[in-house]
Amino acid sequence: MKNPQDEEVCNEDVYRDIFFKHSQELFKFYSYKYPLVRGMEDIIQDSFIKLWNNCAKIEINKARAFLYKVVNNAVLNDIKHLKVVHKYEQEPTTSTNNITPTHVLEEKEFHNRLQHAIDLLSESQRVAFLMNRIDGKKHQEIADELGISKKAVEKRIYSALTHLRKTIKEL
Amino acid sequence: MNEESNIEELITKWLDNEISDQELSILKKHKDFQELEKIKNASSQLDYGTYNKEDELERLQTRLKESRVKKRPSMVKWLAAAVLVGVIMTGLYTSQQWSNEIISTPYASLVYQLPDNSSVHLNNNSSISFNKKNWVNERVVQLKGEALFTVQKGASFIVETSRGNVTVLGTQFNVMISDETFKVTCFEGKVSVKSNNKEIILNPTDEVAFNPNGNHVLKQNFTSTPNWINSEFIYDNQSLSKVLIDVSENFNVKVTASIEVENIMFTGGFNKSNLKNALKSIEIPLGLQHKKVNNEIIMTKKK
Repeated sequence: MKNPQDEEVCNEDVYRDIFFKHSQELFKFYSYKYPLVRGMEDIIQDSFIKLWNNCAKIEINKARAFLYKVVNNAVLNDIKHLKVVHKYEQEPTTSTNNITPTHVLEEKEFHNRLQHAIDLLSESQRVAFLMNRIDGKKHQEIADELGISKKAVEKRIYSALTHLRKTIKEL
Repeated sequence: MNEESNIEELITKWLDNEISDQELSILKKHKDFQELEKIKNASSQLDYGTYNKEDELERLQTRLKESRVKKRPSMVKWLAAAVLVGVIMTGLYTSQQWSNEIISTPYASLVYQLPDNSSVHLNNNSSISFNKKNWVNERVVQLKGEALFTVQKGASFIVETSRGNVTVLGTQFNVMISDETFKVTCFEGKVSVKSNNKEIILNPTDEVAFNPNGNHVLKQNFTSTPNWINSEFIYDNQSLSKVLIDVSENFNVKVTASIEVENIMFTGGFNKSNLKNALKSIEIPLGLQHKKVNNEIIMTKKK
């Protein structure tokens, strides 16, 4: 049994630091990865409650991995229930209009298509692409956060973009 | 091929905001550039929810506090239970080696969970005692009165009584112990009964009863659950005075039989819920009636 010390997760200041450091990152990562899961804030909260309840057992440098694991399990559990919903949402929303390649899409229509196309990306492509686009993160930062090479990040983002272009045309 | 990989490199730099003006002017000439730029700009305005760290931390801290507060009432409950057990304990005389955990039911039947989730349904006026600490190693219960046991799978489960021991080889059985009778009924699985150096194995719906001399009667295809569980008393050729003792205990009134009828044998039953109906259930088949004398009900022959 360890006693709570300055560098322990059980220390409230340390715990708060961990929250500030990782909660948003977790939220974004899983929101991008699994956009269909609702109540992501609560899932993140639950993971931090679990961290607090196990704070004596978890070393400070393992806290981030613990949180990812807990959130991942919770999300996957949720997704089991969502599978059916997801399947139907992936059915393209067919518009009856004749859309030629030269037709200028209205802003809103384009937005819907883009959103839909992003949903159809692979999880890893979507995460990297949105971290770059929405959060304005540099490729190197994304690589550090995901624990992969910069080259891999570039590949994911580039292929995400080309996929999107293709899918938007096809939809 | 070369050009394509060159374009890929330019697009990558462009997405990472690392592209030079010269490179950008090359990229702008690419046939897909307008479409790509539209996607690039639009995708940075997508809504994937906002996250406010300060608000979320405040919410988290409130939830953590609440979960700490919530634990308290359950502690209170636990304490109350402990006090109750303590009160019951003081009301009982106990043998030394069983001083650990005692459950008794002076007034009403009760379902009690043993530490391994085996359950004991205690009849009125009965008690069990067992060693809680040693339960994992040794599942032994000492019984006075009557109880229905539903036993979880595991090592042997023994019910000790003053008249003999019952060892469970299966799951559900009833034990009744009083001065006159020692009766064991098996409802599920197998039960071994040892008394006076005799061992009797009971299969489901078997019942064995020992009389005070130690002789036993084995009945087969008895019932599927004990009668008292279903709030009904059922008798097979029992003396009226004995039946009326049950009536008295159950309804908390004094009911006796006059001398002329106390040895009449009764076969039948009565329901625990209503005294009037219970009396009728006994009187009608036997051709009896009752009168009230000083808060006491006396059963007599019908005139």
